[in-house]
Amino acid sequence: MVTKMKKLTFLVYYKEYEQFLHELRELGVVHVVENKLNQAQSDQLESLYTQWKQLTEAKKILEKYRDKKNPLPENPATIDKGYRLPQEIEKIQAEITTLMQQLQISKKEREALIPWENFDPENILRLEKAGYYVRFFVVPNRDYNPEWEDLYNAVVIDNRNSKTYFITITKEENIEQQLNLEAVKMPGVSLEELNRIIDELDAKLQENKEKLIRLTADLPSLNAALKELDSEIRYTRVQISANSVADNKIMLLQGWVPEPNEQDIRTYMDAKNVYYVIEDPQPEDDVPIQFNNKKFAKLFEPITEMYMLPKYNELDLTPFFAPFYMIFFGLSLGDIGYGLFLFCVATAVKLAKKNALSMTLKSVLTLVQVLGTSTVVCGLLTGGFFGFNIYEINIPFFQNMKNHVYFDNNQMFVLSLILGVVQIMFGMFLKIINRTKQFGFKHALSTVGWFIFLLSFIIAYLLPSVMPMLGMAHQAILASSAVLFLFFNSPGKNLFLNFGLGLYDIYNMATGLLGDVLSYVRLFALGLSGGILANVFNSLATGMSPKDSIIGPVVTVLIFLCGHAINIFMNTLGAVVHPMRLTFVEFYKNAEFSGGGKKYNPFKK
Amino acid sequence: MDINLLLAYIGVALIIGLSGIGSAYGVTIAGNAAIGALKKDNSKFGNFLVLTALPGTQGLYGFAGYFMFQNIFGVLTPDITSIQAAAVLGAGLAMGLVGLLSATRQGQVCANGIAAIGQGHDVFGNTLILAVFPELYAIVALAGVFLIGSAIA
Repeated sequence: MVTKMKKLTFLVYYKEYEQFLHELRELGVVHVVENKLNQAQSDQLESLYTQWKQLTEAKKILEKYRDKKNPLPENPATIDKGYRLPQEIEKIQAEITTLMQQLQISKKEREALIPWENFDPENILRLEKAGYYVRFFVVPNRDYNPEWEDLYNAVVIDNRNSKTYFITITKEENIEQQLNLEAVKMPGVSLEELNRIIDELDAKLQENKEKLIRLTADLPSLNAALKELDSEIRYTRVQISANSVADNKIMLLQGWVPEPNEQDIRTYMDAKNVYYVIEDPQPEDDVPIQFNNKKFAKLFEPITEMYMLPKYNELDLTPFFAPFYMIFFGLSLGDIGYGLFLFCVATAVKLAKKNALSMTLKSVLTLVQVLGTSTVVCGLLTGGFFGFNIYEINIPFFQNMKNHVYFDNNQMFVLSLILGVVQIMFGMFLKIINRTKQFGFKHALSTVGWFIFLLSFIIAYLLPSVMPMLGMAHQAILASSAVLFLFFNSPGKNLFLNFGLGLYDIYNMATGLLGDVLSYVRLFALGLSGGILANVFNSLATGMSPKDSIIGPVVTVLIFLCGHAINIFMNTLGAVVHPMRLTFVEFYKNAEFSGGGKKYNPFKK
Repeated sequence: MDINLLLAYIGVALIIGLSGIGSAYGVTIAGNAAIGALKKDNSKFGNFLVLTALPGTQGLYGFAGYFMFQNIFGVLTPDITSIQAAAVLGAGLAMGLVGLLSATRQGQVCANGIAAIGQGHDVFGNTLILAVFPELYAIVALAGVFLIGSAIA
């Protein structure tokens, strides 16, 4: 369900505005209505967002460098330091980039020098001064002409990768033209020198990386700065949301407060002598949504939020789809063993990290426990346990249970369709309530007609002794319900239009309902295919392992574990997503959920 | 009847082969998109993994279909009748084709969702729901295989 909200309007003298906002933030219960920004305002925010981006970027880098297994002892957090960190990190990063580039160039040069081995480029220059020109060449082996050795004093230095590396020592300078080859340019340093440079660069690089690693101790400062900036952004957004009236002397601010907190606001405002109005929301208001579901339904709120929040005056469907979702998940997964596994994992995490868990994570784990339990119960229908069937075990207890709860495949098929009918009928019932709540009972009449129409068939089918199918009583009910959905589907419009819309409605119902109910077949098919795959992995585990007394069992266990791990992952994914679709498409559609509410987000530090 | 068994096994080849190919294509399409999107936002790998895995199920349905004929209905024996063989072939064609096409198409939906998440739109839940739409038909095909099987077993 949704918490009732009250609309707040404040008028504050501009000189007291800042002070007022700070105190409002301390109260932390008011959802402030934010205005559309004008250019100057969005520029003002832009700079804050840029800073925010820099901080998150810096955080990402530091987290990458942090040694996760044994992190450095953390330095005490100071916000100033946090704000300074991005520049510092950027500087180091820029240095690392230049070092990396230099290193790459040097490594390339070294690659080129290696075949020529170590020599001092100075000596080449000295020879040149004495009138002897040394040139370096690389040619494919077959192009090398041994005559060059006499003609140009060629000396082969190396022979690798089917290439010949040779130098010529001549008195002429333009030897390249005579040989018709291009000489290789040599770097002006020797191999030894180059190795030294590379080592030096490596050391510098390492040094800079260590600097970054040392900075990871300041992550708390960074987080503190981020938090501060977050609340500053929020503050600025709220601050510029006020409309100034009366020659900019008075600031007008609107907001929402949950009804239970109304008294706090009143006490505070009365003490402050601020002019304010508290009123009930009007139908056209865009009221923020705060859930106040109780224990069980509360667990399913994250699922509701994945789709859309309800509108304020609309029925929140969370408590109504929750039990269905639980059963659907159980049927889709449908294996006692998998259910136990989910339950145990969630319980273990809960016990192991008792205090370190956030509220959201805790409720998600509880949800997993609930769904796991449901899977165990639904699994009892078919008896699957990690792909084995417990009802094939010849123990009186299991055989006795089989007689009471076992469903064969055909029965499961029918069961999933019946669940579909139940949920859709329930959805329609909620649509009646929803319409009555929003627009009045008059607008729900056609839905009432449909509901009775369909229900009468169900009753006639199940209890022919009470009301025979298409007997007099049944026909009377059908006729009266048909009047409702043919002539009362849009009150206030003329009769013929109503009739036309009614016919169109019949077409929609006939095609829609059939598809909706058939959609629930997935519950059966998912459970069946999951069970089959689990069974197959068991056969593989026993059948594929080699006949060796030591390796055999090891392979069996490995196949069993990997196979079931894959199967649990795929099936749990399916069991989460498919019931979700049934909820959001089939159920929501029949309950006429429109949604689109905004989340209640109070202005606080 | 050898020719009956031959027909039935062609059905088996179609059911496993086509739906497996479909899933392989589907997860590849989504996987490629995920690798691209990781460049922009590598903190969303968990979301990408889940979305990439979605088109993987069709291959499993195809396999489950084969397994039903093999073990649950037990019709893949040398004394299979011509009607049973025709049923296996028909079921294989249906499941195979639906698996092939629905998995590739589902992969494209997932890939678009992954690309959008990479660009910073929070559409994980929406993509999950939309991506399940094409999958329904593979599930319906599997249910169809089951019904065909129970009719001839």
